[in-house]
Amino acid sequence: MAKYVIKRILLLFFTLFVIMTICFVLIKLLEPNEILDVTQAEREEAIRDALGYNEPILIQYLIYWKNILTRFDFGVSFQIDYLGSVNGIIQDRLLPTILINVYALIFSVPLGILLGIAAALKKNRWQDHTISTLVMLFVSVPSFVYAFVLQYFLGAKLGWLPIQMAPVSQTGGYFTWAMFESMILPILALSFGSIASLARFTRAELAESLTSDYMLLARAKGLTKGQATMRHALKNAMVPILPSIIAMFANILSGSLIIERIFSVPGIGGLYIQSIQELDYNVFMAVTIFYTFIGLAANIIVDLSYGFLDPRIRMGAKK
Amino acid sequence: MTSKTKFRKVASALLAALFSITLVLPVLVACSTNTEGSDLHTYNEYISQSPTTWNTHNGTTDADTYVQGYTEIGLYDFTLSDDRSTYAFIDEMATGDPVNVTSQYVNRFGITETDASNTAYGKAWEITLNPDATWENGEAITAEDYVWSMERVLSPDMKNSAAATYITGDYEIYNANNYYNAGSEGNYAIISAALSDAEVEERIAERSLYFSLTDGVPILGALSLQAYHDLFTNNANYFKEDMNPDNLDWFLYLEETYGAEANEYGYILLTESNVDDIREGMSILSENLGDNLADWTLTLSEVQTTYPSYDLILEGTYTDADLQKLMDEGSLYFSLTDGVPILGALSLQAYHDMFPDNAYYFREGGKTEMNADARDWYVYLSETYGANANEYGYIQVNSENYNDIKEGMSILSENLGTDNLANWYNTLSILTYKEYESVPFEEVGIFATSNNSKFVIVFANALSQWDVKYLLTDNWIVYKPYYEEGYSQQGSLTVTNYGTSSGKYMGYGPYKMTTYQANSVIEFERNENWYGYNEEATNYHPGQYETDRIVCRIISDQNTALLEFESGNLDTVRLNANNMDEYRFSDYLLTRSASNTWSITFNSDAETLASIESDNLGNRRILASEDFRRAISLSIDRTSIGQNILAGSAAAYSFINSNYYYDMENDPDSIYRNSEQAMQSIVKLYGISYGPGMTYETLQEAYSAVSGYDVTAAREAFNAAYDYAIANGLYTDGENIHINIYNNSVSTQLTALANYIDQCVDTATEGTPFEGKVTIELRSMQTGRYDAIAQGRIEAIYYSFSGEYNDPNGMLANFVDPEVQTILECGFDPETESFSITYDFNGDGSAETLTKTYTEWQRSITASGEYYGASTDVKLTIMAELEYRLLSGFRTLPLVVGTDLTLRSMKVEYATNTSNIFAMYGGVRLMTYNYTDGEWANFIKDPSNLTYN
Repeated sequence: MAKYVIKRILLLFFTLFVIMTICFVLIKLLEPNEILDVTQAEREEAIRDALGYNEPILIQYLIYWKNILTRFDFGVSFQIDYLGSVNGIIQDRLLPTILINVYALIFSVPLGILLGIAAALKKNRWQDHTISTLVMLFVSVPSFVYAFVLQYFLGAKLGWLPIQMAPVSQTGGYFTWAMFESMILPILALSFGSIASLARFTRAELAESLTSDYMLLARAKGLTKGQATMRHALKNAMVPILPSIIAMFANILSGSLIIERIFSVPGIGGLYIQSIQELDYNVFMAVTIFYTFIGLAANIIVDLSYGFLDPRIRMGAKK
Repeated sequence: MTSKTKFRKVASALLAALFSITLVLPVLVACSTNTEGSDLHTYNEYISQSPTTWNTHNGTTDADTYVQGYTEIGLYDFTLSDDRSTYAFIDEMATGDPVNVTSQYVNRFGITETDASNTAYGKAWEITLNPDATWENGEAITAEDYVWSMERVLSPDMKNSAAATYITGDYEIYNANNYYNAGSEGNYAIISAALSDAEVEERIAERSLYFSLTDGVPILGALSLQAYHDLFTNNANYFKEDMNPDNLDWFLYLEETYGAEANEYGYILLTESNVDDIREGMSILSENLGDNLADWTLTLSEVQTTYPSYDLILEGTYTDADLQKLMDEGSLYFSLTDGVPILGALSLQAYHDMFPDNAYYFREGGKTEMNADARDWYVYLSETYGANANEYGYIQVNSENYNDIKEGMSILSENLGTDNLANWYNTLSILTYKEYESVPFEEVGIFATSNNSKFVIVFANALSQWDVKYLLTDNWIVYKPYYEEGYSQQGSLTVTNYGTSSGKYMGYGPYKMTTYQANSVIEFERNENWYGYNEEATNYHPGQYETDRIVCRIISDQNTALLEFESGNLDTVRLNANNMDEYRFSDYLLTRSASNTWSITFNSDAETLASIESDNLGNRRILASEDFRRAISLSIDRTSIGQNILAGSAAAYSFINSNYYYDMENDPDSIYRNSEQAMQSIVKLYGISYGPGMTYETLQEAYSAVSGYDVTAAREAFNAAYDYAIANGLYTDGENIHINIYNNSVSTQLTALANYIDQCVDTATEGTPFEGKVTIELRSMQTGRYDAIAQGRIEAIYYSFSGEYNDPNGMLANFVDPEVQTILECGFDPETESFSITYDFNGDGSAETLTKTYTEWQRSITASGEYYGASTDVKLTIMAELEYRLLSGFRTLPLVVGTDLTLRSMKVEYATNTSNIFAMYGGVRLMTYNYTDGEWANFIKDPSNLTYN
């Protein structure tokens, strides 16, 4: 197991390096936006020259790595947050994204699982059909459609909730009631899809578990249906579900470009696209490294979690 | 209780709790909502993206300038006149009008007696500062702040974007360009026309010809000689005589022989010693390539070498052999009188003379032995070679003086120790030639006077007082402590983080920034130190600036902004075409014609159009026919575009729309488009006649009838185009024509526009040989489309252009002055194509016919032009004829003028609902409120109160 973990970690760094290299080359190959005004175009060219952007890509890449390895310096932003450190930009934008997504998960995971359990237990009855229909609806319709609907009805027409996320300066911080109140709409918009997919997944897994032989044995032993379901079926059904929840936690960090835009969340969702559009090389590379690392690490964690959840599965174990 | 029952109860309870929370939550929210009973006036608005930096030296986006709009103010500002019908200048950071002091500075700053005698226009202007102007922390703002800040704007190490206003164009400050570009090498550009042997010889003597093996040569498809040689193995034979593989490869020979002479930019100076070889090698290439390389000199580059620059040898190790080489080139120099940084920037002379004790450093044995009898090498060198110094104070080092200089400076080096003067040759300089003269900032045309209460600004061109005040409605001052505190080095660029957060910025305007949260909110409140609020201060503004606070949200989704506006949380919102159906007749709708005109520009060069046809989509060469382009123009109903496709936009038939004024100084209603000359040019373009007894009796009637849409005329033009194209080999009968129009993005609206134009052309080609043959499509090219159309790699683009409202001629510069903007119309060279105008230019009663190129005509009425001071009629005649000539080529087809649409909330009142080009609707200066914040909060509790449509 330890060997397997070490091997995965080494592979993580190798994969990270390959992805970084590819992304660095690709972003550098993009042409800068044209400037028609001759004086400004000359100025931009002089700036690019001074910043070393006209050096060969390999030279730029080597300098980039040198700065990271010697000073842990990922550079500064020029287009998105002038001279702001890229670390700072990512940190500032991460918190609102994490908060909204964590709240969404806290809301959607229990609700999704409960709905899935209810549907599985009432399989082929009206409760199951109702839940399945809602699931299909929520899965099919994109989250930004809900966002518009919620914003329009609950925010604008009824005035029950703020239309967009409030600024920290007006709420006194991220962990105040006023801030939470302004986050409710984006949280709901993000939750519906998660609730639906979890409910569907839970229903499928639990329904399969409920028809397993060991359930028959459990009932034969004298357990009630509820006891058998809770103590045996549900636990087995959770084996594939929990890793997906772990993966959902990892996805928190990617944010949602559209939801954040609609509700004016100053999060990380749009940062990647913005860095490409504005050719902010340092931010682009930093975000690439960040997402790649998180994604690869999450994969490792999910893979390892299977082993913890199900003793039958031991990654890298000898047969 | 059984487990089943327990489970049911628990599950039910959980679900019930969850739903209850969902139901109760909004009620709790409603209860907890804080409704302030405030008497303040807060203006709530939004921008769509966060500012990057509001440092006035570098902030370029709308978001950047948004912040400056509240926290800074110009020396003068625009406001509405008392009757709100037009604009008015108002003193702000200055007191009184600028004073023409040109006559006081004759023979300085490039000012001549002739300049001084011109009283209507001046180069040097004195500005008296508002004595009560302070930074928001209360510190006084002085003339030195203006001078220092301008030095930072123009700093060659910082390359600030604001410098563009002052280093070129009408508002160029004297010597600003040289200061900004100090030390930069000239640009190397391939020479445009072949040179004779005599010309080559002449240019060698001027040291202005260069040869590069590694930079692109357009005659080889922009490949460098090296790339061409290496990439295409067979092509290496082009460098060999008679393409004989056994012959000498001249590329390799030149590289091996002269490659090491290349400077840091990869360019080898052409000299008498290498010209013969380069000539022979490139001549062989020329003969072998045939058409591609007509003459060997077309591989050479030139750079303007006007100013010699003596660069001290401060880095690197130089042996005698290295120095000998420099001597042989004639580029090694020695100065007794120019500063040597290793001596604390003192010159050898100053060092020797100012510090008597230090004279010993020039003597063998030095100070330790106090050997007064030893030779003073500084005095010796000065007496022996000082007379050989050139006008710049530099003595060329040669075999005659080398040993003496070396010995003398070696003694200095030994006596000073390694710290100060590591090597004797650190006192030597290498001569290079720069395109820009290195000037100290003291020679740039801005300086403080009168105990720091005034400053003088000297322009390269003579300007009117109105123009100077117009320029000075923008400001450039920055707070020195914060600016310098934010310095850092990025590569070789010096940058500052001034203006990136509220703590790294100091404003001086009516408001100060109190909160900045990136991508979220910016908040401002009154700057209590601003003179405008102080009744005892100069330029006090009673009754203005009723707004106490401004809260600006960053909202990138337009729909969200509209919902917030409709809920009463925003006091203004921008509308797009999609919203017009709902708000078209709203009393709160404000419309303002934009300054930019959206157009299609065509490539009209047959050769490059032919190369595009390699995509096999269809014929493009037909666009070389002026009749064909004219036919397309006449096919399009521009009015319909504004009504049905790009809602809110107005039809455009000319480059200069109705937002441009030609004489704001004397006539606030001087709309260029309404002038007789401008109307005449459009009427002439579309062939509309007028006169007594005709359909249109007056010019005004004829102009009003212009629609640019005439299907009959379009068909005639298509037929004429067909005949021309067949005769000139531009088109084969029955061939399909495919025209791609490129934009940086493809939206639903633009696709609809392209489809509409396609339909229009389909209609107009009915009954012509082109019927059913023409397809027009919109394509996306996110970056590079401007270069692509200028170089002829694509056939058409869609874009917009704009200019300064008070400078319609500046708008035309976009089409004819390559030093202002890249000329997009491939196939049109405004610097060589010319036309004549017959007019009484000098006002002496006699008309004369003058012929100039398009570029020359446009420049003739700029601040540096011969007709800048001419009568308004002369300028209008030139502008109108220039516009007519450009339009009549139909290379660029104006389509529509954008319109800015906004809704104003019931909470606020603007000073006027009719926008003025300079003062807009009066701005926050004149804005008043119908409700206080508390009253408004109560008002919006009932949503039915907020009805805007």
